[in-house]
Amino acid sequence: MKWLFLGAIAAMCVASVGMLRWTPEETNDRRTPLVYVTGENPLRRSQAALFESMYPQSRIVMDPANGDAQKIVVQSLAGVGPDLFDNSGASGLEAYVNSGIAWDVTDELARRGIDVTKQTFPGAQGSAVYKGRTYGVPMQMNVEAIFYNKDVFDEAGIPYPKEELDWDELIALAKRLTVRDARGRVTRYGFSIAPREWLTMSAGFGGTLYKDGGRRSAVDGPGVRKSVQLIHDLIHVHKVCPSPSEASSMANVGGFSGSGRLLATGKYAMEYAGRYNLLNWREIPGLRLGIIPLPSGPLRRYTTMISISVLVNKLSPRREQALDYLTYLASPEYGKLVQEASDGVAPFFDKASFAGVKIKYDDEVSLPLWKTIAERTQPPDLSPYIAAEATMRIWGRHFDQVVLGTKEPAKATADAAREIDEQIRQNVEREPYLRKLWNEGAKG
Amino acid sequence: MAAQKGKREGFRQVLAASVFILPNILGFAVFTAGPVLYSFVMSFTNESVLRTVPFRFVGFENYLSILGDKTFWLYFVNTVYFMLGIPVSILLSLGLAVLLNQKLKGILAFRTLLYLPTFVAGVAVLLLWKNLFNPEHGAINAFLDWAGQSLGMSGYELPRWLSSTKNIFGLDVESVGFNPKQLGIGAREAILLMGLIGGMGGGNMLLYLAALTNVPEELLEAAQLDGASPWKRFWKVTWPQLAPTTFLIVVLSVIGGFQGGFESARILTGGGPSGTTTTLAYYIYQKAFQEYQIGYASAVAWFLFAIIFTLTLINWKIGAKQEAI
Repeated sequence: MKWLFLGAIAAMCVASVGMLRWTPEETNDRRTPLVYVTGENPLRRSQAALFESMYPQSRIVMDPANGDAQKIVVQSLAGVGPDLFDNSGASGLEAYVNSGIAWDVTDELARRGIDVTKQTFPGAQGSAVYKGRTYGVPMQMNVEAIFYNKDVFDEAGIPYPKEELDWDELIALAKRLTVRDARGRVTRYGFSIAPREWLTMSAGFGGTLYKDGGRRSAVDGPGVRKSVQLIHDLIHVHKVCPSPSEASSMANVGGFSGSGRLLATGKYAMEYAGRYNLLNWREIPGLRLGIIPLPSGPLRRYTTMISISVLVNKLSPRREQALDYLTYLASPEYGKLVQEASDGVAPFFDKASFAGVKIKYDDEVSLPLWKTIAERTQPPDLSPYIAAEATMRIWGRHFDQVVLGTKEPAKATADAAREIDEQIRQNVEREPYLRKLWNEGAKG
Repeated sequence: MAAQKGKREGFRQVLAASVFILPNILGFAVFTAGPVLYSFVMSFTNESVLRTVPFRFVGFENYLSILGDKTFWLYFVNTVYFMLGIPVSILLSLGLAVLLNQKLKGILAFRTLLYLPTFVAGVAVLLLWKNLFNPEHGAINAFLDWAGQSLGMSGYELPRWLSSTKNIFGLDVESVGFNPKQLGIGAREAILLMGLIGGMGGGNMLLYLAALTNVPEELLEAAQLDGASPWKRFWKVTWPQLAPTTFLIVVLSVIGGFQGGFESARILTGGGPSGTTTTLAYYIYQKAFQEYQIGYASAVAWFLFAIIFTLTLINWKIGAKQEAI
């Protein structure tokens, strides 16, 4: 038996040595490989192919399996991180910068004639610019609008909305379009918006997450309260918008094609959705859509949570070559690709024209509409005293109850603000560096 | 001379044994013991992935914070709540094992069929449950609706399952306490039900099946000769013989229960609604990998370990006492 085990171990050792020595055949490809951690989106492949044709000295190696921030941070600190990676929000950028992974490319980009803070929309900058310094280039600016199904309007004998509506007008319209069966169950919702869009809506009413330089929560302020109240009322008072569970019950297909299908099949008359949905809607024969902006409140602003930027790993040995990819993202060629694919809109909007772009819907080519929406966006604010995820975790526990209809918005916002303030107080009490920052700010 | 030869032989045996266990020891040291030790040390620090947080030792500060962390205790209650199904689940797996221990034609096929779900990926099973719990079109509510209508009931409200914070004990959402408004059936019951059904077959059933085949036939025959009914034979002969297995299953289930709930929270519910399906395992993940508080998350993990260790000790004591009887 002993010899059997020894033999097995010896065989494994030989096999391991063999595997180590056996390396894939050398290719004649002399291009610099750039490992790029990005999503599973099939468009990324065509975007990478265009880059490779414009920068023949480099090639992109996609790595969609390691997209989590913690994986990127840990792998990079261990010296095996990617050269390029996507970041989708302000809080993610803060983590990458503070963990020493994101490379400050402000000066490098300036030398190449790129200034993200001046050439892109404010909403796109949240995932690229931190404390005035640029750490990446926005690759996609997610813009959302209200898409409406023209057939549903025709059937109801209601004229298409041509101009931007205010919230009262939108609710009145949604009420007219909502249809119930004999048992009172809704068979068609006049309007659909995801509850998480309270944040998008809040900017229009002057709502922010924090005040006093991030020292205190502002979710109990009138701006946020108004937007949360609107979400609550759309679902529970006017009953023109489905709750998340009603929405998922209606959707026969999951994923991002599910909700789009509900608009296409007339289960929703209007839906607040991203431009990327056009990728699916374009494939549905006979579908006629119109587009108007979401009411943007008295301040004509939206908060945007999603804009994707590409960052360069500060610790990468190929970071200089990786910069080429950032330069490419600011090019008109890349911008045109984004406009045509409906992957949001090109963040460098002025460089990316719609001219010659193959698109289907008349309203989609309405350049001023998407531009107006994009110009109104702003990134969410951050606090140095509490992680954005902690704020959202606390907020989520209260907001979920508003969506379920078991808690009043005023109470939920007040309770959440109190809890967030308490967490900030504990953090400052616990960490001397935060205490110092707090005191310095107080003096300032 | 002989003693020296014996010594040399002993040394050779130890050497040979060491060579055999070395790969395992190395793997254990690098991938288990090392990280465990690291997390223990980190639990006394403010370690964070963020470099803006200056590293420092905080002593027992993290542990003391846990005691006052309202969120921790809310999620502790959730974790215990999801363990309430353990006794029923154990009983059901015993029942299944007894059925599969019958000398029937094709029993092997039944055994295979009942163990087969264990091989299905957890994510696939969770997605299946998600559809079953769909409040409008799910099979569970369809059945409940049919049953209600068949019984001539009207005006009833079907559970909203994964999108409701209600629970059968009326536990409050925001504090550890009772709230009559929360009485009902919701996400916690959905997770409980999933655990119950999931824990019924699989490993526990297999352990019981193995234990049942080891119950001495002569004991059962003697009891039968003495006129004992099937129930008495089970209760007086089989059940005591299964005690060590039951003890093992209870210990493993309690440990698993305290460590559980991550998959369902991550895939099915995101820990919601309102944190009602967040367990301590998911809280550790949130603290470590979303809020980057590695030190605090490590302390929570060690606190959890202390709870599990204490409960296992109590289990051992009770188990040893029963064996003595």
